[in-house]
Amino acid sequence: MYLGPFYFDTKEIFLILAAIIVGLAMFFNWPLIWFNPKILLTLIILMLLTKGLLPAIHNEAFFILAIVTVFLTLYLPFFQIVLFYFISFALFRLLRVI
Amino acid sequence: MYLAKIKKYAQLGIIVFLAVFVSNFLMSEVFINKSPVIRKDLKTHMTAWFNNNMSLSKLIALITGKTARENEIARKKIEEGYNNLQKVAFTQIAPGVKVRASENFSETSYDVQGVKWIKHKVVVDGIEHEYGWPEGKELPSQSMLENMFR
Repeated sequence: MYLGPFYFDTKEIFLILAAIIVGLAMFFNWPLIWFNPKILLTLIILMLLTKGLLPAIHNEAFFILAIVTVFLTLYLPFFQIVLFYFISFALFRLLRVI
Repeated sequence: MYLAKIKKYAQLGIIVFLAVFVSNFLMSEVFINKSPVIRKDLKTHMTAWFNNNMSLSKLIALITGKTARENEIARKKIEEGYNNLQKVAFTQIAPGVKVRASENFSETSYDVQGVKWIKHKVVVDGIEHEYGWPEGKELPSQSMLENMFR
């Protein structure tokens, strides 16, 4: 889908949709079981930025990393989650997975 | 074809698993200086920063240099407390529980586990004795104390 000069694929649109829903949850104070909406929103923005840098061929690796990252927010502090996310990307690149 | 898929997923799984350990190592060895006190507080600090209740410079100071010094001071205090405890004579009066008999018992003594010891007084045979006891733990009975100080 083209929005102005930018092309968005399905997954990016879903990420934007998720950001909007989480934003609404924050705005209207909807309770989210287990998850902190602020952390989720920050992660979604980080994911959108990194997704923009990756070609579509690596969507699978990106998806697995995204799922693991979101679930790790249940156990680890946010700073460690961000560390984990970028270390994973570095390892993906170093070990030639992407 | 399936083999290649399985190999790819296994590779992804291993890398993600590895990344958890690397991030954990960085958190515990680089950012938190191994201190259990700071480790416990980090989440609070991060939340405070995230909620705009703390500046970024303060957060960095907490995670890096200052906390290292604070940790050192805290560790020294704990070690000092432990050494003081070692100097004082302990008498075993019940399994797993020790009573200390010392005149120099400080009001703010903590043992190595971070448990606060509180000063108590007991009169045995008309003589007043002081002893330390872990906070929150049920006090020893009068007969136990009499055996201890008699």
